[in-house]
Amino acid sequence: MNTTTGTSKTASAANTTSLASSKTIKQIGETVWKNRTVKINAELFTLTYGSIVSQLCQDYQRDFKKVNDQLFSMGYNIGIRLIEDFLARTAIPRCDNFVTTSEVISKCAFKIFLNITPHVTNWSNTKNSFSLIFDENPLSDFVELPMDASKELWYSNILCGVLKGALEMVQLDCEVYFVSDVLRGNTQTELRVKLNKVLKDEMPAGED
Amino acid sequence: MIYSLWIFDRHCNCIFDKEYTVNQSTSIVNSKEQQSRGKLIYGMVHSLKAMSTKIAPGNTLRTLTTGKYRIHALFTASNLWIVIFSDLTHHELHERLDKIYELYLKYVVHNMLKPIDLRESENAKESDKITSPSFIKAVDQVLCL
Amino acid sequence: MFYFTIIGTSDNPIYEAEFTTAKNTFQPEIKELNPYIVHSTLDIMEYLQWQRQPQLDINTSSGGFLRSRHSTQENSYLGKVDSFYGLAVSGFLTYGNIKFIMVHGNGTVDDTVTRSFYYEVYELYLKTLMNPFYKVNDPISNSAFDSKVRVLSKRLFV
Repeated sequence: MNTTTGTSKTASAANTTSLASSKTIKQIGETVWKNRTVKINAELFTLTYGSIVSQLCQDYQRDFKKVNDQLFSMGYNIGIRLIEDFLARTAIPRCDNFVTTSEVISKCAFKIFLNITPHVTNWSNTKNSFSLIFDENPLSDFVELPMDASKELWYSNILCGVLKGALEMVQLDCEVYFVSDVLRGNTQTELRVKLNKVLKDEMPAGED
Repeated sequence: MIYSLWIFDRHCNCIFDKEYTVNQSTSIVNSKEQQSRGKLIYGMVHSLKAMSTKIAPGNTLRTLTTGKYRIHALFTASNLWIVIFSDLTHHELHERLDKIYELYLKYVVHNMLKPIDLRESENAKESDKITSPSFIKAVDQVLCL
Repeated sequence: MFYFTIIGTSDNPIYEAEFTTAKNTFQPEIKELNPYIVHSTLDIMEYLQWQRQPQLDINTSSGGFLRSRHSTQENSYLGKVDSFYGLAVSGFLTYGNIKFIMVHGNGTVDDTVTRSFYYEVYELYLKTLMNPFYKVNDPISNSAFDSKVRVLSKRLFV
């Protein structure tokens, strides 16, 4: 019996070797965005999301806490699927540390799916939580929050859910939430990602 | 000759298996009898995978050859496993593994109506398996080139 | 001085603004009349809307609205549509049947300037319309819209 391991010629293995430099991560993101991403009209996308949010506000009788939760759980359901899509396109292996994870999220994931690259900043001392600063947000183009919503509604909360779901699928149990949003009159849009723990890969039952 | 295809999810459940026989029409999909065999395969691949990583960090298992058959495996970062058993004439099947992963995306992941994370179900039920006929058909096309 | 309004699809005003300078202001009695002037213009615009070739000789360059698959020229801008005791009234009709109407206090309509003003306001209106929380025919209470329109209005005074 013999096993072959390690490098191989296929596309999926090409990226396996080094994820160390953030330049490679950026390149992966840009290549996939350029060559392997189907684009749709930005206004259609923005309006689709907008009508979902405004419909939810109506359905929940302007209980914006519930709307936030609902957006989050919709995002979660997208996230657990989107991660497979992401992995299939990029063939990125598990990240060694959370810093690499943050780079992959900002330079690769956001690039591929929304064509934006939010800044990674505000690292905690322990390097297990960071902030993403959004200079632009395709979800919220044209949006003006109504007065009653501007204190409670996190308009783009679906993003938190997507990140939460996607990270959980690669065994990173995280808390993801918005800290500020320009729509609410804050100076910048900041999303916080906090790593709770790295989950262990499950073992088959009765194996221990 | 491809002998069989196995897909395991991140909860160690076998979510798809298909046995290929010489006579196409009698091939078996998601059979109940195979359940224990699926567990054995999972266990074997799991141990080898763990060992190969231990010996050389960052190393991953790709193929495994025995006297009579060869195993080809693809592991994604989301811990989805795709495993193919073939005879010794196939040295390298990773392109096909990637294709099957793409088919999994197309017919399972992108189908919002199909639940994909089955953590709640402790014992994988028959209904949790991939039963989409179009998926099976497409997989057959990839494997029986 | 100018009095500008946006009228919704059921003849409901959704935005109004007065552009004045220190020297150019409406006299109080005219100021009160402005909404009525606009109101009476609505009928004319609705008439023009269904004309194939509106024969208003004051304005030959622009056409009626839905009129013509034969006409290739832009036809949202209607130019001068009405006048009232030395005041001129110009109109613009969006494809969503929203009316922009303006009372020109100086009595003349400078087509080039007015047209470009209307189109830029139209652009701003479209952006407002893209806001998922805004519904057609809602009053536009957004202060950003208001201030942008006021900036645009500066060019009307030449």
